[in-house]
Amino acid sequence: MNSHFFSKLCGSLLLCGSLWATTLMAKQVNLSGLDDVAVQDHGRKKPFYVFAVEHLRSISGKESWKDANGETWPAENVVVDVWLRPEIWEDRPLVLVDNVVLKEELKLPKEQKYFSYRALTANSQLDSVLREVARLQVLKEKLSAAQEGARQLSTRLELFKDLANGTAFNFVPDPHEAEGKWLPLTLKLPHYSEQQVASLLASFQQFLKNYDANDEAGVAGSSLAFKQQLRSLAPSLYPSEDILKLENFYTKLDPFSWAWKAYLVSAIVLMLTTQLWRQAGYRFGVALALAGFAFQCAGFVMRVVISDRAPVTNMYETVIWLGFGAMLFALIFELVYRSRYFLLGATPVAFVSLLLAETQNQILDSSIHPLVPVLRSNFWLSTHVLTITSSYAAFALALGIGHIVLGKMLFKCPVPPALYQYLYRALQVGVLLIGTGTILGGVWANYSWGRFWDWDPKETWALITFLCYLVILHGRIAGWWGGVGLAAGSVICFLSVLMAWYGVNFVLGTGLHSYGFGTGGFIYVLGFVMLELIFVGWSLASYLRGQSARQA
Amino acid sequence: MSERGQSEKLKRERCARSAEWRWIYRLGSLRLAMLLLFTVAIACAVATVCESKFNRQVAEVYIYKNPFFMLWLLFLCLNLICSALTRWPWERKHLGFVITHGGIITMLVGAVIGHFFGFEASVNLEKGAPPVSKLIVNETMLMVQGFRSGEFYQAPLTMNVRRPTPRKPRVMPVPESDLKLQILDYSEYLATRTVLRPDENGVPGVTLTLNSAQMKQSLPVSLLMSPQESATFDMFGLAQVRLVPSLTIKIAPSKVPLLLLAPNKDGGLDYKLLHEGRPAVSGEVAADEGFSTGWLDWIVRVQAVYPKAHFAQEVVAVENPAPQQQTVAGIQARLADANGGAGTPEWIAAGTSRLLQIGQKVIQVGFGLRQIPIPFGVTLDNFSVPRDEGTDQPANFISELTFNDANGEAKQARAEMNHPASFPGGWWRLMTGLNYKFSQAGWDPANLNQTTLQVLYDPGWLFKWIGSLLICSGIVLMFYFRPQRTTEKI
Repeated sequence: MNSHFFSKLCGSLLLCGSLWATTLMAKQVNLSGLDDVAVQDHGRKKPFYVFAVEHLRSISGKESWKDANGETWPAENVVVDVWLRPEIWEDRPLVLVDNVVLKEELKLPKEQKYFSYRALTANSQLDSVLREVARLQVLKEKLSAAQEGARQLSTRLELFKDLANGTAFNFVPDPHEAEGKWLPLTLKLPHYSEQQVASLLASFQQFLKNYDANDEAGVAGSSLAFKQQLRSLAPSLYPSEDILKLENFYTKLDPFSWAWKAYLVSAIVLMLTTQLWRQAGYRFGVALALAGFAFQCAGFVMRVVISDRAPVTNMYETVIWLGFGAMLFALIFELVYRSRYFLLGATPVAFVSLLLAETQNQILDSSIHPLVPVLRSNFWLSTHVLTITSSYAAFALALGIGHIVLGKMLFKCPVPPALYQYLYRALQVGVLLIGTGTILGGVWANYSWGRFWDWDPKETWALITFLCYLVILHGRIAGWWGGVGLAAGSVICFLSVLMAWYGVNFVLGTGLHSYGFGTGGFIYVLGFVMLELIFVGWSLASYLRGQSARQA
Repeated sequence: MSERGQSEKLKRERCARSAEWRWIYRLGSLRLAMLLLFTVAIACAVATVCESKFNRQVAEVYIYKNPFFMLWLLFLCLNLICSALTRWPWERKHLGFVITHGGIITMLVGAVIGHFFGFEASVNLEKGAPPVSKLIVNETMLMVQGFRSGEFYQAPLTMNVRRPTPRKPRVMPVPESDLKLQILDYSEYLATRTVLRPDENGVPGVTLTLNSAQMKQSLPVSLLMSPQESATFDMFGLAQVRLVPSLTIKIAPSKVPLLLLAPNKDGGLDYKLLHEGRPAVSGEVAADEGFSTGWLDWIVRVQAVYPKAHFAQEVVAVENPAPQQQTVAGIQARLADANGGAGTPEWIAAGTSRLLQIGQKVIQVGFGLRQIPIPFGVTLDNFSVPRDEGTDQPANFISELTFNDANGEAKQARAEMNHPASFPGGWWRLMTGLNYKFSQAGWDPANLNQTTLQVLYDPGWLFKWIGSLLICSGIVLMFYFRPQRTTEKI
């Protein structure tokens, strides 16, 4: 049976482990040969490279790790090494603890960010906090900040443990079922003959030997052999080489990162050339914006192909979609009006949203996960959710233009009247989309939850947002305010968008849209709200002072 | 003359002509619309915060389902109608405006119809169980028997808002009598537990609690001298507590620590702890006293010692239930008469009823969720939960159902996520909402033979549909036809 080979493998792993333990700092071997090996992880099959990056990012918040000697370890090397030499890695400060309240409760040094697995699992305080968390979760009660931090930390520790004991590495396919459970090498492999298992393990041992010997060429060769062996076990059910390569390409290219860089430069160029080199600057700015937009489109197309669904299923994706939508509307309007103000409003918004998505990876998780059952409907995802998030994008564009108007007032620059019309256009698009999107949400809810409208917090806040924008549009019809009011309103009303979008999921945390709930970032969002209010107040005051001075 | 000037002139003429027009202009004013929109937005925002800080019911009672809020929405509806009338005679440029406002009115009409003639309920189905033709609505009800006729009277009773307390009970009259029903308390966690009741024909018994601060546990224990199995309490197979007639009797050797208790002449207990067959601790303890056992930090506290007693089941409120403990919600109630006398308070668990007594008078009182009968039966043939590959995460929930109508005809249907099952069938019923829609709503991971479905019956559906289409197309038209007034006021 397999068990004989299994124990032999474990023996060899242990032997290797102890060998490595003596040579503490092995030179890092290039493991890119393993990139396209498929692993079943968290409910889907993904390439090993992505598996490694996601694991390291979840555990340590980064995509590579720097050791005490200042040497940088790529994610694949960290993940493989944790498996093969757990006893060393258990003592290395790899696990991120960023929750300050939790650190206080666990009596950990506040200034330290990374801790070793051993230190954390030995912390008896953590153990008792986690027991309390388990109790509260059964009773479905809310967790405090420290408890929420402990819950996240325990997931990181679990991930580390699964790497260290090898159970995370589900390499071996199920030859009978497309959705069957894949197994790690460390378990008995019931689907295969003794001979098949022996040859698979032999090829992996060859890899180990080469890895141990730091034999670059050997590692590349044996990785290839190992990969081919795995594929040959279930050739019809193994993910296609193309899709695995595409996901690796998407992860390595990081198109959204290129997009924000292009948007940033575009925004700077457009801003600096309002007086000098107007024509050339405008053309260059538009070209850069288009380049960024192309990167973003490419990113979305790849993500859609990989995940097989509309790219608006979690906070990370909607944050990116906001930037995308704002740019899309701005580019369309630029095509009509050729005014530069649409792009000036949209590029900073898109830049900030993409930058947030990239840097706040503990709050906005970029990994592709299987969806909760209720979201598994591409029809509704691409109608209701796309419409709603696109309305947020139109409002974000209005926010950007509103900032330009208010900024000009603050610095007592004349405001071109056309700007107010642009603002009105952006608001129109937003109001139409949020109205339609909210109603589509009702129709979907009628289908999946069995009711059209039930004052769920997400529904209610969509309605509030809709009403807020209606108030500023109607106020203008009544002649209570004009363009200045629209500008101030588009900034203030965006706060209701923030509440509907972020607040319901991260602050209120109740209701049926619970699949989108998360934690973190509250202080930053609150800071943003405060700054916006001060900004609006200040520029309005400056405008009114100017008015009364003119009248006098 | 400008467009605005013309409409001002028309307004003056009409208002001078009749009081009806004056009211239409007043009710349809933009100023009122703004006030209504603004207050509705604020009220909704407050409600969502209430829901997050307190619970769903608070938000519903004070805002969403409050008659004043409903009235406010109707007022908004009236405002929309009047403002559309002020534009009369409608021209091409009013098309978007009229369609949008008409859409909102249609939708609100649909909501009102749905509210009064439809319902949202749920049903629990178990594989192999007989057809179910009763649905459960998530509204708690009180059922009280009429004193003379014995018939049951029902009234809604929300508990999460203005929760009754023994100091501030909720009082209501008992039908057909001068008695009052006092609801003294409410608890989410009622548990049934075994207690001792004094009984002349009974045997000696004792109630005690075993407490551990480290394990954060407190175990209630009731022991009776006979039958033999009720004299011993087993603590997770790690230790035993046993009630014996006297400490001197011979005990078979036990592998686990054994605590022996024997009633003594002073009305207290003698105790002896046997560890590996040898006495470790011994002593004497009275009711309301405690002693340390020496196993971890477990402390025994004696509640009461009964010379003669029997077992009884009692419903009690638990303060901090253990995660695996089975509990239900319930109310504590008692009867009171006009002279200020009061009966014994009893806990009534949800879905049950109890006899409450005062003097010679007995009234049956029940508490539970409201039920709605439906004109057909539904059975669960199969329930399956496909998972994400290699994990336990559900990927879908699929209930295969059979509907049996009054004529005995059976129809198979399938309710899964995003695809509800509807009965009775037919496209016009689907369009008008005159059918029952069964959507997947809940499941029990520990029991895959059972599923919970949400059932919707919404005769206002057609209005909601049409209203939705009108609103969206109206907004498009409005933006298309409305001329820009960019420079009018800045």
